Amino acid sequence: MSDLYDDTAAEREMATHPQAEARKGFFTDTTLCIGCKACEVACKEWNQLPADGYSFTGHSYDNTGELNGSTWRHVAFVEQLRNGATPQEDEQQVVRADAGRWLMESDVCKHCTHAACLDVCPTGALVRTEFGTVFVQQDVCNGCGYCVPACPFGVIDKREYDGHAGKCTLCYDRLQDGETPSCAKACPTESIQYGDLEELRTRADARLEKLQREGRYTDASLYLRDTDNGIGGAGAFFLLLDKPEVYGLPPDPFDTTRDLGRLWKHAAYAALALVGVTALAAVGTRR
Amino acid sequence: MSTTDGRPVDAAETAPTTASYYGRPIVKPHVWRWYIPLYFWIGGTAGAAAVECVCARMRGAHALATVEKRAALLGVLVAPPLLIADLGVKLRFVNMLRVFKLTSPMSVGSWILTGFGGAIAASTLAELLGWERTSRALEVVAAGFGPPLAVYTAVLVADTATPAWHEAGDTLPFVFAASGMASAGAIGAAFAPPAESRSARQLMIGGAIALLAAGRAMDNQLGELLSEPYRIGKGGSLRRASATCALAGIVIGTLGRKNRTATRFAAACVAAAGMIERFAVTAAGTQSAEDPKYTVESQRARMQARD
Amino acid sequence: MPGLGTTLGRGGATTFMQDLQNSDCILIMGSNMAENHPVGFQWVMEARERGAEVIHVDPRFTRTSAVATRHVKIRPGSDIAFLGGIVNYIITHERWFHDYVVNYTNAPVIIDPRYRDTEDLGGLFSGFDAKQDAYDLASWQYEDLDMTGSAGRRMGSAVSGSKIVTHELSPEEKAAEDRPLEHGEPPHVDVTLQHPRCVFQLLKKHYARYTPEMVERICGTPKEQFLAVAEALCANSGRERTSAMCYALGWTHHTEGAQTIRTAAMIQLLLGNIGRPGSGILALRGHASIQGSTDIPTLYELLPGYIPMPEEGMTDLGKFLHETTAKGGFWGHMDAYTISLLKAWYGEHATAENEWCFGHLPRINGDHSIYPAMMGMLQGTVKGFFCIGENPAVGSANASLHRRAMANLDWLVVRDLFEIESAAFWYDSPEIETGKLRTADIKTEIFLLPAADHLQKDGSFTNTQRLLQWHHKAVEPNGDARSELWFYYHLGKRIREKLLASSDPKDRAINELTWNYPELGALADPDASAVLREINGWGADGKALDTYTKLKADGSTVSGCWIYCGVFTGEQNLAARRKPGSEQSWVAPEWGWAWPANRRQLYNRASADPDGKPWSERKRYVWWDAEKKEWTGYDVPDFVKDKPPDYVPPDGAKAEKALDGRSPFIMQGDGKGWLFVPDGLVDGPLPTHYEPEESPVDNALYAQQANPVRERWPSANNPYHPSGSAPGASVFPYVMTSYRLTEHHTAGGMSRTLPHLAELQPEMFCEVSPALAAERGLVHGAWATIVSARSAIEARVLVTDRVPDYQIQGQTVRVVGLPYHWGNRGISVGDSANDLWSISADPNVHIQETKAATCDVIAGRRPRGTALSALVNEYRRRAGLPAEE
Repeated sequence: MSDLYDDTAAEREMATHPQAEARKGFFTDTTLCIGCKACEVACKEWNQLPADGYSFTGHSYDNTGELNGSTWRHVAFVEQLRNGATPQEDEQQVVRADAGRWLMESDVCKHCTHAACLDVCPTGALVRTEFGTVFVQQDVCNGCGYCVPACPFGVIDKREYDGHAGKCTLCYDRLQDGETPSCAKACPTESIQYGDLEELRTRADARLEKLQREGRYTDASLYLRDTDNGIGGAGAFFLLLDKPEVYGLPPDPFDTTRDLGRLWKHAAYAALALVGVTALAAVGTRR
Repeated sequence: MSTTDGRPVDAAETAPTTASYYGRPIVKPHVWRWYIPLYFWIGGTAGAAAVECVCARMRGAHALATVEKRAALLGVLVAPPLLIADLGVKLRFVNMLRVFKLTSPMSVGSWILTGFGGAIAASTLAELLGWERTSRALEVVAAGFGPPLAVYTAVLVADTATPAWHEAGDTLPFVFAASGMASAGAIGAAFAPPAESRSARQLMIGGAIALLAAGRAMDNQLGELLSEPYRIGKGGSLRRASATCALAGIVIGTLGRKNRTATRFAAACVAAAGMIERFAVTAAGTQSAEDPKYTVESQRARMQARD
Repeated sequence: MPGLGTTLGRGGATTFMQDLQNSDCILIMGSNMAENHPVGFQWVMEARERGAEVIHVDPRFTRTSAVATRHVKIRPGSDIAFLGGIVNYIITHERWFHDYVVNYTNAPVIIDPRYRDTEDLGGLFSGFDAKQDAYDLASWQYEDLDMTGSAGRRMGSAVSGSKIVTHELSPEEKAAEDRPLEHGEPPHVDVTLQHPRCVFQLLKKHYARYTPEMVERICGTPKEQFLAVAEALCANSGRERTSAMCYALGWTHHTEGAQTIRTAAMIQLLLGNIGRPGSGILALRGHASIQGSTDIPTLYELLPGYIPMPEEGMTDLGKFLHETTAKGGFWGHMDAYTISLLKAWYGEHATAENEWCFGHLPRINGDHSIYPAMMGMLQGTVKGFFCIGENPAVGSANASLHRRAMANLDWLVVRDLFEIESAAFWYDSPEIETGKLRTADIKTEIFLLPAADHLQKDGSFTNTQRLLQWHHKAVEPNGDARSELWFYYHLGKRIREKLLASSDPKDRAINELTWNYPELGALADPDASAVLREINGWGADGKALDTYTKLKADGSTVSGCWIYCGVFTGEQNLAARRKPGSEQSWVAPEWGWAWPANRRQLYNRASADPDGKPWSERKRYVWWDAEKKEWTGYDVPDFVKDKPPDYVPPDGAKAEKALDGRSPFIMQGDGKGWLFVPDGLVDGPLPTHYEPEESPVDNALYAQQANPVRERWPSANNPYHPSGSAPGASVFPYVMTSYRLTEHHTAGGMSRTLPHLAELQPEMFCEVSPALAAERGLVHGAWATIVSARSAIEARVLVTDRVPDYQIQGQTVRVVGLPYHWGNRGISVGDSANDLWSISADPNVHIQETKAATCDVIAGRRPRGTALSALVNEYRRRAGLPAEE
């Protein structure tokens, strides 16, 4: 089973793909995000996704809430301005440059190297493309919904209006024409950067190093850039300024398939136990 | 037409603590409707019933064997419609057999269900045609698929990111197996002639005890935090309901073993316990996904343990 | 617009967005640039990544603040105090760029001895007429020399509502009017800047009390934060470094908006930050083509190219030209520009004998801007209204009054993409809900005509950096939708058909217009590029002109807008150029075409020293090539190309020839940046801190509370709250300010109607500090009702630390923030913030004050029906105001 887990890694899958190209991905640098949501709108317009609800959440400027089957880019907003004072004490709020920040981050499907959604999909609707991205074939998916609880990031979702699972395709159709994904194209500050994953990783390392050298954004870290995590590294990784859970991201995500071998083993024990107990229950009953 | 519910937003929801994004889920809870946990129970019971059928055959308890076999057949007839009803694109149910994928318990399970269902159906057909030897042979085939049918759904459920499921992966198959066995025993105890139903009754009670024990073992594996969904909320209520039914079934089934009515009542309790436990697991899973603390704190603890 | 126009010569951004990458420091104030100009903001990010300081001064911590290097809070409506404090800092600490100031500004000029400052007169300048609430500007002039402003109110006459007072000129004043510059100089200057009446000393005196302590008291900005801003600007100015400023409606939507912008322009002149790379003032205009809408204006007081509209009493062209022609600089050719315009409009009918049909132009005799026009609708004097691409039912101050005004019209034409609030008010509006209007009683005949959107028509946008960009029709319009060009052209055709047989002389003004563009396609769309060509103009040979310097006053040239002359050079539509940035210099001169003359950075002569050499290598931009004897550089020089730096004008020289080689501001009468504006702005030669119309505090600097010349229309329908220590002011204890969100567009007609945008910000909300919420029992996510004497609206509550509280002059002042996008039509609907505002306006530009006023807030949803009026009347009663009519 551990071989099976290795085989589900993107690189291996791409190695067997007849048209495999260099693996593509996103590097989202949140130090450049201005929270404009052009990415959300560009994605919906290109992919012809419907609006999915008009509700005021009160969660800062985030009325989108989450990624789901018809929202494939979601900008998170986290206000961190409080000096810790209560309203009564805080008569003179001073917003100091060093004490206040408003985090903004455009979230997206991570296109994992080890993709749980792809692993558990029973129909083979979820596949790895020649670009190394994870893609739902809309004409195969039967809406069983299994991918939904499998995703460690809570990205993929089943849509009510057509019964299919849906998630970011990394604009597969645009990539096939040599184009840039819509969100990256629309992002005015190049917070969302698209390109060859290896090059993006190098670029991100250089960016982090530059920030550290300049003493700016000292809280910055690269989330899911490395390959030694539970998903083998992401095709879409991020530069974050706080712990992942502050943004609604798991601190230690993993592809559940990693443990599948152990699960089957224990299931086998239980199956044997079932037979054993059933047989045992007949003891003392021979007529 | 914008929403105007004006629901005040909970302060805890909006003050982003260091540990969550407005209290929103990190992983998504499953999107299955009640058809699916019901199927878990029906499929598990049918699988265990096929095993009990063969056991009964071997001892010459043919009436019991037939009851179990009919139960298995009923399960096989009801299960696919239940599963198909939950699909988003129902006509594409055939795609479940489009591939055979070892990394997908649902794929593997679809084939198991197909094999099991085919064997039971064929066996019944053979029986109707009077081909007894063929029928009996096919019963054994079905019984071979039976235990996998009963336990694969535990793997399916645990092979997700849902904390209260995934972290219970070692023990959950035992819970599901116990539920299936107990329910299969209950059916036999309730519908087979008393002369042959003793093993079924013993299976019923043994299975119910195993259910309680496996549940306890699962809580232990999960630990204090992740077993909480089985104590509070809907998951907690259902778990307690299941345990209560199981206990009632054990007591009444033991004390009233000579009494047919009592036995039937106990059977109903045990079957209910087995069914409700599936719903408890499902609800607890949802709870553990919806509150981000389960994901965050369990992952942080694991990270700390590594370092 | 006249803030920059009177100070520098042109009413537009002095620089372009890509140039921000060269800035060492960028001050964003009166603007939420990342929020509202997200694409242009990438250049600010570029600057930041190159190490620039990006300072955001704003009442709230916004999306711009989130990526700035520093956010500094400021009470809404106190910007002049802050900026004046920076002037004070520059002068006190001797940080001005001396050579730049002495040579390129009017700092050395000595002003009329009759001039009195606000320091002398308790907040007023000399010449104030208390009966008319207006100034006589005569005492602000240069000593012995009468200068005409480059923008704003340039005419000496005083028609009703013009907000100036005039008098019969004395012989000395007549002499001053006629006197020319002497070799490019005014008669009285002191280059040592010591004379007590020289501009520099007047500036110093005027801002002497704008100390950091005073800034803290008035603006609520902690002193150390203010000083950090002032120091950052000073440290990043001079020969080697430049700073830029970006502003938008946070500065313009005040009763002293033009003056606020002027203060910023003065700071930039003092620091040598105009005309140089990474410098300047980026006036961030909001709509795709709002710069265009003042260039080829939809404003009543301007003709194309910022030529003033003639006024009552200007019976002949000579009189008009006498009033408006400048002594020096390119406004010296007012005749060529005006006559070329009239030739464009009247063609063969315009001859020297009939003064080029100058008599056909309307004469304005008052303030005809939207607010007086709306008052006219209420009174019944304005009977019809074309409401085109505008939604006053949501977008104008005291919006409820507009809705009621439109209900009083005889007829109304609305052209838009959707049935907006201004078209639907007669059956769907808050007034219908409260019963103030009843559908059956409204006699207005309303024509709702569908408009084509920008993809369905050819045309151009002129954006915030004066850049004309052509857009091509991609698809035909749906159904009956038509472009504005089609509409006005065919409307004009039909009107002319009806007037053809008329013998009434006034109809010649319509019949003699040239009205003959080619009609294209099945829809008979007028050829937009033919219109552009006419705007560009042509010479006697009929060929498109390449520069406005070729326009003549003898009727041989045609140009529909002289500042756009050059866009059609060589018969090419240069606005349609799309050469990628990667294939040309960073200035990208071959993308589109910028006015004037495709200059991207204006006043760029100032990037070189008086001798024509760049101030530094690092900030090289335009310089004098002594070999070729011409100006050259990275941009089109904003200067006469072959005028050497040492040029001295001969006696009797006119227009640009009257300016010497060291005068970069070529539209100004003396070629200098005006720190002191003797003419053009009706409310003072120097910006002065006044409190807004409605303020929670008294003016800490002067007895004069608010702008004495501001426009007001007090009435029972437009009452003003008492301010400061006046009785009743405490009934409205909070400061309210309104603003935009990235997700929505103006009055919401193009965003609240689209699902993908409506879902991003689905409801009207208010932003309040935790302390304000606690005071009023507001619950986050629930509802609040915001109340003024005009109306009350409801909004969802967003309690946030991003709205700070203020300590102003010893009192706690809290702020209510209101996005203004909502109305009752569309997918996302809600109450309109503009229902709360009164109408009071800047007297120079008639722009409403919607950035600072007062209000109260109560928890819960607002009352419905007549109970709403009852609530508003209760507040009026408590504030000592009359009840609603």
